[in-house]
Amino acid sequence: MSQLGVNGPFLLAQIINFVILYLILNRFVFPPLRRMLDERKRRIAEGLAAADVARKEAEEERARLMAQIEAERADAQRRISEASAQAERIRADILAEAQREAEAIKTRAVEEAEAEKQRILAEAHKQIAELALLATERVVRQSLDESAQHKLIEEFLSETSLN
Amino acid sequence: MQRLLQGRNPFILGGILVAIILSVLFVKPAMPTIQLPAEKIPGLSIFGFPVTNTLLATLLADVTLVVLGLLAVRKMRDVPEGLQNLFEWVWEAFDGMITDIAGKDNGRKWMPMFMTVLLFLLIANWWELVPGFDSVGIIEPLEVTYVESGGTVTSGAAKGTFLGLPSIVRPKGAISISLTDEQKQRALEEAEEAEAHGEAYHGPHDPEHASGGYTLLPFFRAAATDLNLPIALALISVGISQVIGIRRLRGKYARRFVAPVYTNNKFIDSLIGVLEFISELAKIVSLSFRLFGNIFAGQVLLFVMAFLLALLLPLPFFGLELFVGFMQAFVFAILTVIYFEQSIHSHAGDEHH
Repeated sequence: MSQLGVNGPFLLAQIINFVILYLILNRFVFPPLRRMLDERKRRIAEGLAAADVARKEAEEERARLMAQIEAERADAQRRISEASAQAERIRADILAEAQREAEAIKTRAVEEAEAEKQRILAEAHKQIAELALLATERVVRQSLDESAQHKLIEEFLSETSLN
Repeated sequence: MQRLLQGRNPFILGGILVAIILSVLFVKPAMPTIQLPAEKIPGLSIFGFPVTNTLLATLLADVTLVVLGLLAVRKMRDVPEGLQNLFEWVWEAFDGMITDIAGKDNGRKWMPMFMTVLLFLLIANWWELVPGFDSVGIIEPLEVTYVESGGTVTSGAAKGTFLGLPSIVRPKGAISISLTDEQKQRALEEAEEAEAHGEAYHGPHDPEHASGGYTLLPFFRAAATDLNLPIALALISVGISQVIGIRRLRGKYARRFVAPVYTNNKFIDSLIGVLEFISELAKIVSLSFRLFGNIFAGQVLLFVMAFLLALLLPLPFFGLELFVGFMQAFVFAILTVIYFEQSIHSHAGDEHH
């Protein structure tokens, strides 16, 4: 072995050297390195989990908002259709009212016209009678007493009934 | 490639090329020294304990790793940058693998060991590829070892042979040449003459080889090319795996070697127990020699290529050694964890696995 250069003191020196090297590295270099790596691994895992949670939350929020928007849209739609139905109803009401009023106006006009006609006819009767009387008086030049006059008028009128 | 040839770049590149060619032509490279034991650096010792160039390289790797590591965690940022990013990346790259092998809890416990072995060996191996790392050192005149055709050393200057293979692996700074019969005759005469005068004989004078040759004793040499380091790490690795096994399995751990239960046959089981014991020893040998062999071979390869032609030829081999350096560090580290993992499995027969 000595021809190979192996001898006790050198061997021992190498063993001691390695042990010291191991102790130094395992005290000053590896622990901070490992701490850093573990810490970073933990933080990345946490970050990923947090991102996951946030994503889930955002998705839920989005779904909630979408539902809300949908509900509001439906509500608006409902209101619009309600309003339009109401408008339709009001229109119909107004139309009916107008129609009714027109009808009433028309009826009243007809009635008024009828009454006027009757009145005018009655007036005409009276004037015709007076004219006839006047004419007869002129023709007969005869003066009748009041009662005979009325009797004559009555007779005349009943004979000339203008119905 | 185009940007490389813009502005003043062509002149700089051309200058470098000319300098390389001139240096290859006119400056003789030092003989690469290839020897197994690490070179002791002359005049340098700690408490009377000689310091080798591989020991210096080990300390250099230590310092590099500790400084880089401390810089990486000095100001930790949430968004990592630079060294912190590099260390985090390396850690993350292997954390999953270790968890796969050893499970979550054990993986967490053994990860520092894995990373220490990996990073230390990686840096120690890659330092070899840094220019000047093992090419700066003390220049020494070449010593010549004379070898008879039969293989025995005749010269007084000889430093001995290694495993009887003097022409393959030389002692540091030595070069061996075979002697012709004529030279041998003259050497014998010279030796007798020197003896007669009571002087030490330093081999036959050979102007061709003895003059002008220099060799280099580098200040640094790849740490894993000194068997002490791989064996030390392998002992730690296998040793800790035994400790883990004993602490986890208590008395049952010994049954792995004494009376494991694999088959219905007690005799075969006890044989397997012996094999288990041998395999624990083999782990030390295989771990250490795999690392040592690969890195040593890589060093020799780079030396030889640079010595043959310093111009461009070593380039692909630097790429290869970059890969080998990482691979060996990784294999050593991952096997350590695998041995840990193996040690906690009971072979007492009361467990299904």
